[in-house]
Amino acid sequence: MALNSVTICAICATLRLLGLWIFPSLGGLLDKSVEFSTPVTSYRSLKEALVLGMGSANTITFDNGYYNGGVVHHPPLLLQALQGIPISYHEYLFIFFDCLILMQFIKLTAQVKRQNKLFVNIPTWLPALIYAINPLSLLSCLSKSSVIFTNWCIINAVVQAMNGNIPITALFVALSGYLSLYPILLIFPLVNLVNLNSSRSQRVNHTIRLTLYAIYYCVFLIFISYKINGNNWNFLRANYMVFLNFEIVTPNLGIWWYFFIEMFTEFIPFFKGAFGLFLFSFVIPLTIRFCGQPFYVSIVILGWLILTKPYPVLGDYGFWFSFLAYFVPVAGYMRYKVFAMLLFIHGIMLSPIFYHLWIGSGSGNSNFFYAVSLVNALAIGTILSDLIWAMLRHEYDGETPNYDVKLAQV
Amino acid sequence: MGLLTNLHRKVIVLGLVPKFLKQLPQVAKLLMLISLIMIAIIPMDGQYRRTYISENALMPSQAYSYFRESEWNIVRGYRSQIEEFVKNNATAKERNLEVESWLQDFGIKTSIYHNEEHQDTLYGILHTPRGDGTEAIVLSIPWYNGDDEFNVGGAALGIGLLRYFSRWPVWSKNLIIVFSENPRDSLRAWVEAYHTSLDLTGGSIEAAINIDYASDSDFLDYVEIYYDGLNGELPNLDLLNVAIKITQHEGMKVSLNGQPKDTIDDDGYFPRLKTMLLGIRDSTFAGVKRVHGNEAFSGWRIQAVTLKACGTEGNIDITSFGRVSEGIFRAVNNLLEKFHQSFFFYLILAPRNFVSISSYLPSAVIISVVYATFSLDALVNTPFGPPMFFNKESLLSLMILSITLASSYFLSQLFIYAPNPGLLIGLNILLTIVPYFIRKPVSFFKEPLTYRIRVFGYLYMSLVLTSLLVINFPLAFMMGILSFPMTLVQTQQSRYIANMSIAIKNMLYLTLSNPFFAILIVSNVIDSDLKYLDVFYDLILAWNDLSCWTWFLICIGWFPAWLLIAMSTIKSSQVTSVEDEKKQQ
Repeated sequence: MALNSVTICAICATLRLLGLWIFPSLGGLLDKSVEFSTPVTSYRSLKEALVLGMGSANTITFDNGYYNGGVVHHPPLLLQALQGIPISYHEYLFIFFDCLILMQFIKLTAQVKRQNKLFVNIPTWLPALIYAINPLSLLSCLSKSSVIFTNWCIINAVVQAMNGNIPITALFVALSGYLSLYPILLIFPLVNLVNLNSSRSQRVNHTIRLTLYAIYYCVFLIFISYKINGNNWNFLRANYMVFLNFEIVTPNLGIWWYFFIEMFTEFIPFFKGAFGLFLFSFVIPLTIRFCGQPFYVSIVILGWLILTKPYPVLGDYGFWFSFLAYFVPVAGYMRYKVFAMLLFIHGIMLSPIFYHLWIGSGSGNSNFFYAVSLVNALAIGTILSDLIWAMLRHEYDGETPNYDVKLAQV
Repeated sequence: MGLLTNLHRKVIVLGLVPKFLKQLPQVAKLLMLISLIMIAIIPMDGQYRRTYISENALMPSQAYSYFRESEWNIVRGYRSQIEEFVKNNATAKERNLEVESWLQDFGIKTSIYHNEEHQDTLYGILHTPRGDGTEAIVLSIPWYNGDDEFNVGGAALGIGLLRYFSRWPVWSKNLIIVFSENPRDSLRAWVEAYHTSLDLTGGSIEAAINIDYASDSDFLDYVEIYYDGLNGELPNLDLLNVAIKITQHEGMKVSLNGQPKDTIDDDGYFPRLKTMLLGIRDSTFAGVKRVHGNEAFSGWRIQAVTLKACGTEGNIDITSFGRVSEGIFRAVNNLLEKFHQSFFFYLILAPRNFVSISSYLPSAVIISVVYATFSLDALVNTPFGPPMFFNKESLLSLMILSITLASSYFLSQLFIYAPNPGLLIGLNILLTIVPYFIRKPVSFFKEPLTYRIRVFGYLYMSLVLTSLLVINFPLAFMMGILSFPMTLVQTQQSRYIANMSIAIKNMLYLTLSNPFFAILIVSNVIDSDLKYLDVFYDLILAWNDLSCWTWFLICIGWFPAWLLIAMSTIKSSQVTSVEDEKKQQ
């Protein structure tokens, strides 16, 4: 059963179009659900930003107050790019981007299969198919969450890093960071990925080039945004400080929000620091420890960012789960697959229920919903630690997996 | 860590894990037993608590009630006028117009909510002289009560009460009086309209008292209080406590969950157990069984109770019954913000005894774990070697589960448009006996697949129960217990083809755990109102009139799991197992 990219794209587009046409109200419903939308990623806020800035002749006028109102959290370039597309076509734009992500998955799989014989047995279509039929990414696409653009940048960056194409890698990493800040941290594992098959002298060269290119693109994007925004820096605060300061205190799937409620006002600066450092602190150590497995560690770090970032949505999870298909060759090492899966299923089943008990029927409270957030985090954490164990075992056993040796986890 | 490592090594050395995995079905049965025991010990001394008022502001029965003899005459006057309606066979419209004019006499703003389908509802609002008018308390009086008797005493009392309230300046919340045709769909329609389309409104409704006094006698014997809402919702325990406390304070006996009068005073393990089980029954079938009126307020964050006056002889007069409403209104009027948070999930054992969710939830969680354990058992203990979870069988079973889900959903929708219980039961009888009559192994059902289907069937059941636990504990508990026989079903392997007793046992277990049979049997045994196939019509009516989800939970939550288990009993075609391979070698 071999599926080519056209077939998978057709499957993906058909599923999403069917969802769109059979359940026309589903998108709006999902956009209101706390699992698929946050103030920084939801389509509601994107549309609001577009409508709010729309002056005459259907162009956004970025006047001085535009980013000060606390409503707009999307970067100027994204809004600039989207303003030309009529709102009625936005659904199709998101479906189109999902198909683009699929194509990149197929490219990526072909690429890793060429480079490493460990992956030879993975069907080229598998990660892409998982992405196409995964209900999380399907529903996220229907909810028109803007994470899809970030995800597209991330997968492009990984593919280009695999190819060793330094300027384009840097461009996409910078873009993903520009869109939602934290993916910029993927630059660390991607440096290793670029350097994977290069000689020692090339490595320094590559590293410096990638870093400089990324800095150059970041500065370039920010500067352009500054110019577009009428020579005003206030978009930086609306786009990035909102993450660092957790400025919109609203319940979501992540582990941050509970600590920012009024009860803990005294400690909020401490929590900001602790959560920010927590997020950052694992990235470089993981990169250094697994410098021999840069592709795997990129996936792990992506998962780590999803686990610890302030505004995660299920669209992030859906994207990340497709990457897990690359762990199939070492799946034998993983020991809590079923446990983690069950935990995750229970988490996403219970989270709308507990949210309803808290906000809807009023017979529960915020602790209920946060408990489910923690279950979700535990599930992702279990998957991550399992992946790391699999990577360690793979490193220990060398090229060929040896499932018969039992090692104790200490 | 040292201790844990030692323990870990001991476990490995003794081989406890494989031994444990072999015994999973026994473990699950034991867990089921533990769960039942945990529920059964709740009524024992020391396991339950006395009720108390958690919100200090409520202060029930702290103020003197003045609804006494002088008001009695007014109530009598209204009652004799309302009796005229019955004598003259007045239509609902005439009745409403007449009462509207009475209400307007003492300054109530009134309006009639017109609804073609669910009949008109008259309501009036006494706007508070103090307070900002953003909150309201509702006094609802259905013209006909749940037993379809004309609520003559209730209507007279309600008007008398509101007239009496209107002369008082103490109210900080708006008072709303509602006369709906019945306590069921027309009251529900009004509540929905109040929150969506009505022009004359009085703010968010904090509490609702439903009065049911369907006699023209001046005296009553005791009071029944009904509290369970739809979809597992309960009023805040504080409101129920206030109602019970005030009723008893006025010298009346309180009967909960429809207990007859002679057993009200019984105290001891078995009476408490009985009250609790009756509560679980009533909550499970809320909306399906006879509706008393408080159910209509579910889902809008309204705490509602129904007070029903029982008996026409007795030494309690109608004003005492009115003083109960007065006392509750005064108490809720004191409420500052909202009812206290932690009192939304409870079981009542006696009017003054309760257990909170922390005491009974573990047993329901354990029931969910029982199904998860059986799922694990079907995954691990197969004759086909060590389990690989992610394989072709899993994918196939997942697809079968999706198809089953879709068809169950389709069935549930179809039944709403064309309710035909006979056909439904017939279909299920057919589904139950089909596995028995398939003599030849079906080539599609390979043996590993039948095991994997069971994994998903039990897993789905466990997931449904877990999600239902905190929303509707009684229903989750009932479903968990009633579908237990399906765990005893054995996969029919072709090698045991001669063994007819397994097939017959399977058929028996499947019959017992079929959702529709189980509901039919249970409803006929425990509820005298639901006879023969009534329960199916009532389930559909409950959805149509009151938007009660029970029908969908049974169809989409329970039925697919049962279908999967039934499927797994079909004779499957043989695949060489690990043991066979060993023998051959």
